[in-house]
Amino acid sequence: MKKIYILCIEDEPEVLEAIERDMGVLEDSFPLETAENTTEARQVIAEILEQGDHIGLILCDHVMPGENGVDLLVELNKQEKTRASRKVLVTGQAGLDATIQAVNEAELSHYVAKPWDPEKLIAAAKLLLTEYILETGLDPKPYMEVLDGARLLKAIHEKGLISDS
Amino acid sequence: MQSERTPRQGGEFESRGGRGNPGRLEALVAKLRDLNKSTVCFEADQMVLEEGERNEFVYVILEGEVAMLKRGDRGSVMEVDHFGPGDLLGLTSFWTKQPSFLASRALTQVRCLRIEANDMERLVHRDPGFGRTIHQLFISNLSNRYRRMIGLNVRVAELSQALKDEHQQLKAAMSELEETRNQLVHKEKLATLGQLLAGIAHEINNPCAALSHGVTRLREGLVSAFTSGKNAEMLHDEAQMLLAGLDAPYRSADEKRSRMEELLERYPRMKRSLARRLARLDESVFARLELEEKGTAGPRQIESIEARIEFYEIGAYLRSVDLSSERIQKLVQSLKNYNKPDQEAWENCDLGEELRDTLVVLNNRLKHYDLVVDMEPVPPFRGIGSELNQVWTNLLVNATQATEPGGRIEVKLRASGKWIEVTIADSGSGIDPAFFEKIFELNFTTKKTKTDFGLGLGLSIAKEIVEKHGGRIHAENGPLGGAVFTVRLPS
Amino acid sequence: MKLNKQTIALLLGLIGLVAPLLMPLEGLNFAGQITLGIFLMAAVFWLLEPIPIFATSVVVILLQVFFLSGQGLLGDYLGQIEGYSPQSFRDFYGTLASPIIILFLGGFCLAAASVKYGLDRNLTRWLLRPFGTRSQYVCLGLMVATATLSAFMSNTATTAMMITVVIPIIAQLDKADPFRKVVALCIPFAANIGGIATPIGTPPNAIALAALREQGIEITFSTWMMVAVPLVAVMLLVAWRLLLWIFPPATERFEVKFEGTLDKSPAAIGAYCVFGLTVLLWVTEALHGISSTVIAFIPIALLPALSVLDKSDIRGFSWEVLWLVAGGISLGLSLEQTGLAAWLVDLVSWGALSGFMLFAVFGAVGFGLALFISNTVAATILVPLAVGLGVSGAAGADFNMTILILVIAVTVSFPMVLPISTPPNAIAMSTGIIQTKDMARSGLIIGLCGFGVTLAFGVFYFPFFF
Repeated sequence: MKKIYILCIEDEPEVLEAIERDMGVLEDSFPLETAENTTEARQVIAEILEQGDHIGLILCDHVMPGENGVDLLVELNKQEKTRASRKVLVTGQAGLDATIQAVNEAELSHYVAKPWDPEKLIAAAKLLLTEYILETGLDPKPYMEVLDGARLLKAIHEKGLISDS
Repeated sequence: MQSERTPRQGGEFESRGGRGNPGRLEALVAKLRDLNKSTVCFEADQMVLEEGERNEFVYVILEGEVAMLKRGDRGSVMEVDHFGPGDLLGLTSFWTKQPSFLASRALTQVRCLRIEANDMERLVHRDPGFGRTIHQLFISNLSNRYRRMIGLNVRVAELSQALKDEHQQLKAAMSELEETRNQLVHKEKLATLGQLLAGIAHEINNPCAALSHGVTRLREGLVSAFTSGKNAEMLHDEAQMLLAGLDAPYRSADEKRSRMEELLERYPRMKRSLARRLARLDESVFARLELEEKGTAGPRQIESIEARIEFYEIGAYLRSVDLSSERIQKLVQSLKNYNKPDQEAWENCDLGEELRDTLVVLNNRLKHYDLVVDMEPVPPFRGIGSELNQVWTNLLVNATQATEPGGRIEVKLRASGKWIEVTIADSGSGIDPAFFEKIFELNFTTKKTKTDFGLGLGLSIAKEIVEKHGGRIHAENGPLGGAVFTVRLPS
Repeated sequence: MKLNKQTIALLLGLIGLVAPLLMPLEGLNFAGQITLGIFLMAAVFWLLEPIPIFATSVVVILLQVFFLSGQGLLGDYLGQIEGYSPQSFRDFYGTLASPIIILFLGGFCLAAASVKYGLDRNLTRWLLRPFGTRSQYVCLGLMVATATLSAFMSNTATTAMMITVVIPIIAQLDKADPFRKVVALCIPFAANIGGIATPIGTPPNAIALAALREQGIEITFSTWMMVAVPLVAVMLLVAWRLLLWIFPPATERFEVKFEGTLDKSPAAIGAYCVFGLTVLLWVTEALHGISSTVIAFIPIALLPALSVLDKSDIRGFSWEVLWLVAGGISLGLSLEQTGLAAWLVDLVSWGALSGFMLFAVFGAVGFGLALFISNTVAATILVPLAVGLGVSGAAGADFNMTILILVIAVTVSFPMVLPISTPPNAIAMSTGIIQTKDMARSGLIIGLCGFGVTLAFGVFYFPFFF
């Protein structure tokens, strides 16, 4: 079965560890990958896609050494295989301009301000992954328990997301 | 001859007798006809009377002009009055037998009557009419002088008042100028500070995120740690795990990934979440867990492993909390040093320390660049620290704006002879040599869009501040390809 | 290439496909060997799912068209086999539009229309009303409503809707109250059971009906219902009592509040009329004699014509279910036609088994298979064997093929032990209200009861009709 990955990109080791720990709650359903900069992130993305797996959620810091996070998200939004991936900006402070760019050009799905509330972050991640599954039409059965059940149930009822077999 | 005399000044201080009374003078001259031999002449520039000398005569000017001179306290000689025909010279010294108070010098050829004391007595004695005439002449002459003196005094007072006013105005203008300049610097500082704060918010938020996260996890971890029953041996093991966690090694994302893959290969049934937690462990701690080789660990073993890792993680979170609060402390300290709003005074500054504080405060921008810092110890410099920091800030921000992310920025501090030299070089686009001087002018910019930092007065403010500190700033293009700004401050 | 589960499954399937061709199999002609290969491959793929199960079904049709049809690559060679004439590729393609598939498509149209205009929700409201507010009767009401809807709609969609309705109410109950579990479990169980009630209730029914049609046995919609509804009713009661016994509720009262009003727009009224008309014609088939498969085309044509369904609704149909069923029917064709089914049946001496034992064995195998794999696939594998048993005459004189096929179709709907057993189970698990062990315990007991009741019906009730 194809896996749906969560990718976290953050240059601060402590912060990355914090996100990693929060997203680790979903790890057994959605394997997690981490990267410390955009170059590493591109490699990881390429590897995941090469295995034929999906990237459901990308959590990205804004200010990082080298390229900034918004530019990466914009680029990923232009690529076929990562267009549907939900994109989240996790940042202490992104200027208005950067945020506007992220919303307009990267179709930013969510904005998380540092420091964040782990429960809210996890809830947001579940919601976004649910959206990803609904948009891509992947089989939701393995994820029903961890994701946003109400929305999936509605889709099963109204859209025939899962059929009898 | 009398008709040639013209009054030198009008107003109430104009003489009304004396020189203005030709009849009396003519009568006097007629009486002295026989004293013809006492008519004397002086050439132009010849001294008639010397200041401080005794004087035996009184002179009645018949023709020509005489300047009255007085030596000032600092040795300078100034003209205090101006006499013409009909005026009397040496009157006071003649009468009081005191040394002459003024010197008098002929301005033109001067002809005058010289009357000796004996002659005077004789003439007065011989002709009481003459005595009366001469007395009247004396009195009118003296009163004239007195009037003129009062006039002069009034004028001097007026002038000095005007001078004082002008001085006051000048002083006000100066302080206003100073105030304006300070305000400009202050405004630029405030504008910069606003933007810096935004960046610093990010810098502080990062450790804050780690901090609050660590605390949340610690709370959960500690609760579960305290609520499970255990014996002494277990407690010891848990303490060891916790201590090991306090020294948890840092693992990069890449390192962790490869360790995870290794673990999952060795234990194919292991859950990824557990593998991730194990991947973080120190080698020796991992060995302590004594995972069965190739074993398919049962749920019980996994539970005990997870419980033990939890202590390691508590340790690791404590360390992360520690590191994060340390980072926030450092940042706040730098920020405090960077801007001391209540201490805008001249003090002994450690330029190296202040440069470093500025670098910390600007870290959010500078971390996109390859930053090279090369500082030698320099003697303390007397200046306004927060203003000098504004200079470094403006130059550094300028460098980041001229350089693409990933470029190089060099900061150098040197003491050479009488100067302390700060150099900030970048690998950006450099400066058009035509603009080397112009860039320091107010409102000069090469940026096409609106400025994204400060008021856009950066370099002109920098120059202003450097010059206030007796230093010089200049720009050139350097070996890195971009601009090099050098600030020289007097040691 | 790394040897992961998927690769191994693919390799195994391919071995299954080729192996029968390489070994001499006595009594089986070459066409039978090919069919055996396809059958083994399909069984491996369906079991291990290296590719989606509906994809396996169409791959089956592809292989049949290429290697078993008279127009395929081996057409001439197959034609020379004595006593065998290869089928036309049209027969295989035809399964995609077989009357049973059309019957299902009609069901899809009705279901889509009723979901779109909230008919299913309103029906639930009416159905629940007579059951009051006493918790155990509300539970029965929920089961009756669920079963009724799932008889005409997808079991999965019905479960999803009902779960959505009850979750907010369950949330108000005390966390320790076992009644929460009762409510969360009664819905998927009732949906699984309700699917048995009509031919269009669940795909295994289609497999059974199609196989019987091939044997010239037509079961009308109304006959099916007369056979199945009593069984469903009994099972609902059994499941209801058992659930309440396993998880004795603490609450006395439980009220299902239902928001919503009946949609009275012209399109909605069109939908109700077509729905009513179609169902009415289906259940009265015995009176007018028009086949249910013919009637099924009424909603297919009228609902789009009345603008009740638009193209996005049609795109939303579970077409892959139709492909899955078509592949099953198509495989059944070859199994029977090449004599493979009979050959397989001959491997075992069935004569020694009574009719009851035959029901028990096939039912048990179907129950076991369907625990882990798709119910439809379980039926697909077993029904042709039952046909083979009937055709070859290997079984005893008291053997009734029709009843055996019905028993298989019914028993594959009962395994609801594990979350993976059926999609409705998976949905119920996702609520987090029940644990796997709750489902396994109650599901196994009820499933086994269902198995027993089916056997009893097979022996004592079904023979009245067939």
